[in-house]
Amino acid sequence: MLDISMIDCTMPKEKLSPLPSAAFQILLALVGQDLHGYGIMRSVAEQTEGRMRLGPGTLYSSIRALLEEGLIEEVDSPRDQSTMDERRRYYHLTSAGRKLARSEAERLADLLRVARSKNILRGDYV
Amino acid sequence: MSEKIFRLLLQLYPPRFRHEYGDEALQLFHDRARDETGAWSALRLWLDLLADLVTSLARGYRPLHPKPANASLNARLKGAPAFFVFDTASPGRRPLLLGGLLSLIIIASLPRLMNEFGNRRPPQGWSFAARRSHENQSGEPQRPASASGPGTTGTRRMLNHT
Repeated sequence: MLDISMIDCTMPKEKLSPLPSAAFQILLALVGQDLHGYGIMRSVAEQTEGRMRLGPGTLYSSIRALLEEGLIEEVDSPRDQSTMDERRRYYHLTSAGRKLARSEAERLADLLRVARSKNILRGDYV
Repeated sequence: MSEKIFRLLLQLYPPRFRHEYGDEALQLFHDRARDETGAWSALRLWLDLLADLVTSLARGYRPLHPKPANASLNARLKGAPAFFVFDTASPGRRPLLLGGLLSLIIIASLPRLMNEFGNRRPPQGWSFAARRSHENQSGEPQRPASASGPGTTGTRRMLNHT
């Protein structure tokens, strides 16, 4: 029979192994700047040339998972922001988050090397 | 108006998500609605929100622990029921009503949509009438149109001979 103690009363959190694309994009968006939710969404849209526009569900569930894993952290809003922005939550990339983003980028670079060696790419890729 | 609709959609998200990030999600919607003006942008915004809602609901209400279900295989073989645990908190009456209403609208509109598409004629170049007349003009042989065609009389004749 089902053991009641095994039931977790929290919402299922986003798994980060392997790192989902949305979580990786959020980590990349936070490199070098602290951003609030909408700022992250815009930054991700810019870095993917509009291909990925994170909706509220995906964005905040990813943020929650990253916070729980200690890959990002909440910080105070910058002082030069307006009063409306002060109410927003800002997020900052931790050193663990930076390390994970780097290892994921290296993994993708390895993958790209293999793809290039197989001559399946069209056009110029770095 | 659009904010009201988004607030209703927000009710469908898991309760804990609403509690923790409901205000921020609403703020995100405000920001996007403010910055993305124009008919196409508004349509894209709503399509994004609906797609996000579907994926978030699938993720938010999926079983919390598949392990108990897997572990209960032996127990299931012995006749004990297996349980999948979804979100422990009930979605509440309002989301259920809204979900029911949306389902009803979709189900009710299906026959109408099917009629709409069923009554549409194919383009003229592809119609059967045009094809038949083309075959007549080109002199290609035609199949018998009905059971009383020459093929059937021929068969009758053969049957009479036998």
